[in-house]
Amino acid sequence: MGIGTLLTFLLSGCFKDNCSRTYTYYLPVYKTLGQVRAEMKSMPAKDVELPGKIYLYGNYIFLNDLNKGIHIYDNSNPSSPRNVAFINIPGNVDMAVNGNILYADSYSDLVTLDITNPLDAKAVKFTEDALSTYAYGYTRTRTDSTLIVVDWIKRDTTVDIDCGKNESVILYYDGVTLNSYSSQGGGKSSPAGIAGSMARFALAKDHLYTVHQSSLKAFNLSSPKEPSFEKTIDVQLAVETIFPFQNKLFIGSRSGMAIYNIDDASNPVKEGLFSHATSCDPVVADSKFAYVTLRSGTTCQGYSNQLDVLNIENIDNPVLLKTHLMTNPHGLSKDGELLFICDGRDGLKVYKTKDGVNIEPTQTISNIEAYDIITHNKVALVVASDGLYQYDYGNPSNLKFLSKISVK
Amino acid sequence: MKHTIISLCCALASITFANAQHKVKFSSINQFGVLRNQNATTLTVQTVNGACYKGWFAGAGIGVDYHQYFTVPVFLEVRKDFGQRAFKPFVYVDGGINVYSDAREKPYDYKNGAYFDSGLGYAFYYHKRKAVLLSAGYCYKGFSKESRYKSSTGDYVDTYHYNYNRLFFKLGLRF
Repeated sequence: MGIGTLLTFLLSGCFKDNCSRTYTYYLPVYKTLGQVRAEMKSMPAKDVELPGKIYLYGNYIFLNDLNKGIHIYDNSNPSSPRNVAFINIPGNVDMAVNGNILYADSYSDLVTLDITNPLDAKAVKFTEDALSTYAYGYTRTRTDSTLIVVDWIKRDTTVDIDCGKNESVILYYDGVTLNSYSSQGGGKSSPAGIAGSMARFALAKDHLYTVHQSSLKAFNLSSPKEPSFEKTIDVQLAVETIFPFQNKLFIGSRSGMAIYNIDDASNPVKEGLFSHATSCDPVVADSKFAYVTLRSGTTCQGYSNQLDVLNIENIDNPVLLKTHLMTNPHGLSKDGELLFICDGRDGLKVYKTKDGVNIEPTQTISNIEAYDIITHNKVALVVASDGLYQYDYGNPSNLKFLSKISVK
Repeated sequence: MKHTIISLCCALASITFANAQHKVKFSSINQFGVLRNQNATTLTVQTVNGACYKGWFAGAGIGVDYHQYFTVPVFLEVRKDFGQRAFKPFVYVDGGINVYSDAREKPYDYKNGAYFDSGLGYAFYYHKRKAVLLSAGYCYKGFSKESRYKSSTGDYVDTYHYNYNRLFFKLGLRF
């Protein structure tokens, strides 16, 4: 036994702990700016990979594939949407449709596309540096030969690490976090299409408004194919979403909701501010109430997960009327007395609100991870982690599943 | 975890049933050990309780140890004593799960790993079924932590695998 013990300690040097880290990283795929712009047009339809924001225009659904472009679906029959085309737009996150014109971001550029025939959409104008997002090859000085990141190739790798608690952590970030599925406040009052509640583009009064970081930018669309930049306003908030309603812009930020008056569309003027704890906060509003969802998370920080109902009759002083606890609310939509909340992994929650303040649950669809929603003509379009769902909410206590566009 | 507990209960139930028929005796093994490899030297304490029959022992055990991270192995043990003298050599093998019990960092999802322990030693019986145990052998413990997140480029999975291989020396009491 003594020999065994001795051997144990002598041989212990032959054994060592074995710890490893397996992680994902993405290799960029480049094309020249000239190639990228030449390819910004309708291509054959393809499957969705990472669904982002949605936009509804007429019978068409425009579904963003994060940083890749926009899928176009003919939704004449919501029970069976047809995937008709894909527009290549590297760096695309947001969009808006006004008449036959689609406005989309491509990293720092604003791209204007003619979609008179969605099957033959083509870029008609590139407004450079409109959005101040410099990344993946987009720099202030660029030419047709400048290399642009158009795709990412997924790789997995394994490296040895120290088995102790202080292993060096190597993080591979790509520079753009997915404040995902955050589309802006779309709006029933929007003059053109309908956006989800997490959009960062909004159309109102012949103007396109975009929000990014702490900036609100206004573009004049009196000549729709030639958007003309007019003004940048520092809203002094970490802006995430914008929702147009009547002559107001409701801007959701991580620290509060700001209201801008656009009586003079070229010159939005701040009218009110409702401050809250640090969180992500999509907003929808009607003439009397604003509904703000606050959520926590890595990107959003904060610890709040709730729905705030604000009285906005006195626009100078929005007043918090009631807070409803949620799990991790993202996008939302309101149609009459019905309020739809995308509550992350808890799914889609449908509430009835007679007085606009108190809410009464009517149904929860819990088998989806819901992020954003558009409601229109009794059809709810819901962006979830695994695709785009459509439900008939003619009976709000018994939503009827119509169709699903699945991710690849 | 649930399956392991059910298995342990079944094993103990069958031992109890056998006890009624073949004079199976309850036995408890309680040990303190030093675990060592080229990286570190750590300590462990464990207790195994079960039944013995004709030189065989089967039981369920639980331990506490600290291999950089605090973990709790939960396992089943089979042990065989040889000979009839007061000094009996024995071999044993343990197998089970290693329950991660240390601090949990966000955003990681911690997963329990496997536990394996096998060794040989001597039992010095000083009274009927009471003995001092000395043993040496090899021990493996593992666990992992994983985080998943989405980014503009795609889905990310980040997984850490921890595998601890140690030789050990244990001192204990059996009664």
